[in-house]
Amino acid sequence: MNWNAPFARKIVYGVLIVVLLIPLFRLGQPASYDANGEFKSAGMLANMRIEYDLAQANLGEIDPASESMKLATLGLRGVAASILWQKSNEYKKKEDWDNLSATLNQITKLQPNFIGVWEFQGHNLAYNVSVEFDNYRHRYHWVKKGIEFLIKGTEYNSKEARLFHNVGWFFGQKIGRADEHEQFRRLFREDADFHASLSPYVDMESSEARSRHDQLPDNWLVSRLWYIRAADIVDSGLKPLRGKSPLVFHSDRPKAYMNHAEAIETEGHFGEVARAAWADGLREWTAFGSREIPSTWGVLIRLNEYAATSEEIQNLTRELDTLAPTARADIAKERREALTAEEAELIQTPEAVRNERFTEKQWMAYQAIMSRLFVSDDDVVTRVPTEHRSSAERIARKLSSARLMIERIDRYRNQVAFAYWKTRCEVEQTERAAKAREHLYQADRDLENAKLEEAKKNFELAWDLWAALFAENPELKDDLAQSDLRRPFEFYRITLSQLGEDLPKDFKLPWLVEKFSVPEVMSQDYAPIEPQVIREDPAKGVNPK
Amino acid sequence: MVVEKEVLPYLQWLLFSNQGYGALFAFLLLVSAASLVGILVCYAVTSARIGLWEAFYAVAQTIANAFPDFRRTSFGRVAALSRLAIQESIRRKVLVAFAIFAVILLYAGWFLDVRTDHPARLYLSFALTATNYLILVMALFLSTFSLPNDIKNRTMYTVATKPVRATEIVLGRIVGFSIVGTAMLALMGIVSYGFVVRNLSHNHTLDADPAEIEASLAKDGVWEGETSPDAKGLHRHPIRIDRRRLDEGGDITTELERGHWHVVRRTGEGAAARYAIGPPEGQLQARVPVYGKLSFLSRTGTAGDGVNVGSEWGYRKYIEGGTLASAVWTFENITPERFPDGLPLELNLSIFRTHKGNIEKTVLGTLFVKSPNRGAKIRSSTPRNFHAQEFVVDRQRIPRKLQAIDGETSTIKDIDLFDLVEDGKLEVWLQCAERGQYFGVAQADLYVRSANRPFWLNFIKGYAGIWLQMVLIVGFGVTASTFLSGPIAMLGTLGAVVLGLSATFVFGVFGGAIQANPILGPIVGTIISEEKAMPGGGPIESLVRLVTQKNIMIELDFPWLAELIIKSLDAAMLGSMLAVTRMLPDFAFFDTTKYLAYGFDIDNALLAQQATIVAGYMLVLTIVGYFFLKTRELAA
Repeated sequence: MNWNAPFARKIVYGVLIVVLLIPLFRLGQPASYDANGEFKSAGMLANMRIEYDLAQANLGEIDPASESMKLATLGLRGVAASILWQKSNEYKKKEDWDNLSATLNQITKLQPNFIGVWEFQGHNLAYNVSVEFDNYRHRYHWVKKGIEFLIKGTEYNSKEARLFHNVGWFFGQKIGRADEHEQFRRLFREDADFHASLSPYVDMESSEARSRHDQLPDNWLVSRLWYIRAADIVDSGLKPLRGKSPLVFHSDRPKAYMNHAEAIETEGHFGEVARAAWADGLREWTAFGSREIPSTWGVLIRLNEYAATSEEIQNLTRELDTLAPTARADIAKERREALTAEEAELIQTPEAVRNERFTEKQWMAYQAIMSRLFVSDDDVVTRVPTEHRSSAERIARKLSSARLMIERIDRYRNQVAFAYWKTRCEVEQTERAAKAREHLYQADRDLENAKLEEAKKNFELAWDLWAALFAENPELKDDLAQSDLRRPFEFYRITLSQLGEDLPKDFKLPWLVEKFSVPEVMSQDYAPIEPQVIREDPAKGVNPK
Repeated sequence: MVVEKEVLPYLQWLLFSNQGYGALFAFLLLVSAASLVGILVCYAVTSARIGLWEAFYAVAQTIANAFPDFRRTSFGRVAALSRLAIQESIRRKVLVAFAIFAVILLYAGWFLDVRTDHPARLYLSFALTATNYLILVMALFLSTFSLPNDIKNRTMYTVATKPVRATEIVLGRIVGFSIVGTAMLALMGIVSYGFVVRNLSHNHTLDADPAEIEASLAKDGVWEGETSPDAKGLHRHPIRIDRRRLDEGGDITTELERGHWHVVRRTGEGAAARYAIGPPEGQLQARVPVYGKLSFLSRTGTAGDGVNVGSEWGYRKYIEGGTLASAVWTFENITPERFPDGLPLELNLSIFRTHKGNIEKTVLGTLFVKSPNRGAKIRSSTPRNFHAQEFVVDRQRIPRKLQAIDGETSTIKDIDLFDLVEDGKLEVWLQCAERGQYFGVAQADLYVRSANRPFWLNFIKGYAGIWLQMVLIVGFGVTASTFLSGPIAMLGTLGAVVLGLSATFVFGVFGGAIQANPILGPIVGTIISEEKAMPGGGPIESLVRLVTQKNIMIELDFPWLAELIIKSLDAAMLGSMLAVTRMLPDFAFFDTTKYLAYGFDIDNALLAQQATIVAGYMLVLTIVGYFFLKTRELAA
């Protein structure tokens, strides 16, 4: 054999190819299964695909059109998708809605598992495009398009809880809270074709989707059904929830019931129907309180455990104090006596004076003294007789973790106004609350029909009931008055002024006057506008001078 | 339909155009400049080979020989060569392109958004775009590989040794491939037409009991309901049957949904009454619009410009409601012979609300018809109020019999519409009647619908645009293949198409790069409008930004000299690119899809302009191709 240079080169190339093929094989070997369908072996990529559930069949529906489009781009899928995104922005700018819609359709065919596309563009359609239309029916049509777009996204991504949750959010918040919510809610209730198209996803025939008063589907109730689907995905452990706070995620479901109750009352449906809706809300809110919520501290939190933890802290404190009965008071007394005269004076300043007059430096000094005066459980432990010291330390440790836990629970409860909504659900179920709302609703109708005397009477009946409600539940005062009583109170004052009357001296909710009056400082900020003198100059047209 | 660039009358376009000189002047200027440059380059190349004097004679002789060659070009020989080209195309299985087209149409439903609000627009755009791309790719492959293959296989000698001129070889191929493309296009056109019509046709029925409808008509004089959904379950039409209208013999139509409506026909009366719903109407049409010139009046009624309400897209200008702000369209050539029944206006408004107002009601608008003669005794009709609609074509017919205000006596009089017409001119004024709300309009948003042409004719016109593009590409391809090898000729032609399609983009990037240039910017940057200049710089700056992760809106923040070098290199590269782009046809100009899709007749002036451009290019390309082939033959 003639061992010449070209032949040697060929051999080298061959060897190199084989060498390069080895890592390629290690990377790209497809998964193989034995006769029983059990997994046998796979390359690195296939292994990772299995580990992270990235196989197309695991993500959701496989669409032949989508697959063929991906193939047709010959590896330039990213470029094609970028061009389409740019085009979609251009179409939106130029108000070319048909092409926008068509382009979004193509993007999702190219990138069906890119959740951002579904979320961003679904929002784009339902929130941004819809408001470009003047006719509220057209707006509703585009809100629907946005929702349908998201629903299509859930088909391709059946394990993405966030997408399912977003569908619920659009059903609830977009239809139920938009400026046009009255019209949107009405259109949705009557939209039998849309209801039929939703049936494959949620049970539109069930009583859970329909209002009790007219047996028609309600947007808030349908939103709840989608929240349930989202929660089911998270609960089944198919895929963890990403990019959304679990607390807010799970709170939307019971809130949907409450929003539904609020909405039907605003539309004039009171009595048993509304009370039952609030009862549903309370039931779900309580269940939500019992749910284990993963927290940012890595521990699971149950909002309902606040009371139990609080009781535990009381018991443990009592237990610790029994071991050294006077320790807490003694330490406090000693520390107080150790203060200088200026320090003692500083902390004795009445709260009102502190809030008004204290400088930043004084505040800092005040805080430092107060933290020095604070008697911790560990301080108490130091005074426990030596024979009980070890059990005191154990109690202190328990106390410390209980206190930490209650602080965390409290923070989480505050984030969703847990206590407020619980009380609210309880109160709204009472006959008195229902009557109070009914009178306000009636007063509104009277005003529309120019029946001022009747309106005034209804307003006053409502104020009596609200006053009694707030007396029993003062914690509702701030939020509830702000959200539900501002407008009626303004209308009441308008009614009175049209009747030539002043606010009665014995008005039952005097704090409303202060709460809803325009602060003086604000009225000073806005100087009255000087009327402009417009002079016409025939040569130059009209110029404001 | 959005018309961002007005279509000028043919002669105006050819001779005067907007910038003061017409297309003809631009053509002559470009051809002269290119010829001069071409001759100089040829002379330079030849002189390098054979010396200065010899080169002069060689070039002069080649040019001199061209004239008899052109004059003696035989159509018979061109026809014979084109027949060869056709045979070659068939051998190369061009029908594959048609098979691909058929497959695309068969599976179109998979890729298209079937829930679209305007299916006609979608299907038409799709069919036309698919045809366009396929036919262009086919033309590209056919035209660029033929000559190089013949030369490579030496089959060219069998032709070149015959008494055949270079012009005939070039023209024969152009004509032959164009004929193949035409046949293919005709086939695709027929199939596309069928595809569009078949996909749009559907039926509805009226499920309501006729007896119930009749009872309702007898009792309330009106019946309201809905049709059944279409077979795909995508839409229904609300219907309002008015007894009075039935008695008058007027047409009852369903509401507009998905860009069309249906006529509802009643047969019999009372218990024997039956209702039938006709086929879809209004989706495949070719309206002939007559556009007016738009001007604006400010809120005080003086001449002004419309308001920008903050929209990024400045196409529409807005007029403020409850003030004297108006949009005024001046129409010309309005005669009783053209519009014997009054003016059929069509209006497409944009509405901008600064406050919510009544959500359930649309904003009120007012239309006036006015004489352009400011001193006329009777100048204006009484106002016609209407509820504005957005994103739909709102039809407003101005009848012949009008009421107008007599300026002298301030009384209302009955007049004829044409009493207000002055030298064929008439003004239509639009105002928004509600305070705090705005109407947005552009020139093409209000027009007189002067006629309806058959849709199939418009469809053919749309295909004519594609045909012209195909011929252009064949011309470019064949010419490129006279001096380049097959693949290079194909890439070159493809480059020409891509550059031609992105002329606006190249100009925008060039404008942006010039404005950002520290030296050129202050001098020439101002002549480029802000709207057209694109931020981000040219190729080098873009690369730098990509690597340094600086988005296009922030400063480059490099040392002064470095920035100057980057930006100057960019400006030079883009400048040469722009120069080439300017020599190429603007392929986007040939796209008439939107006319078809939106149901507007394709202006004959536009077709004529397209045809003229193609004729001009073909002339130049044939000459260029001739010279290249001729010199190549000499070299061989």
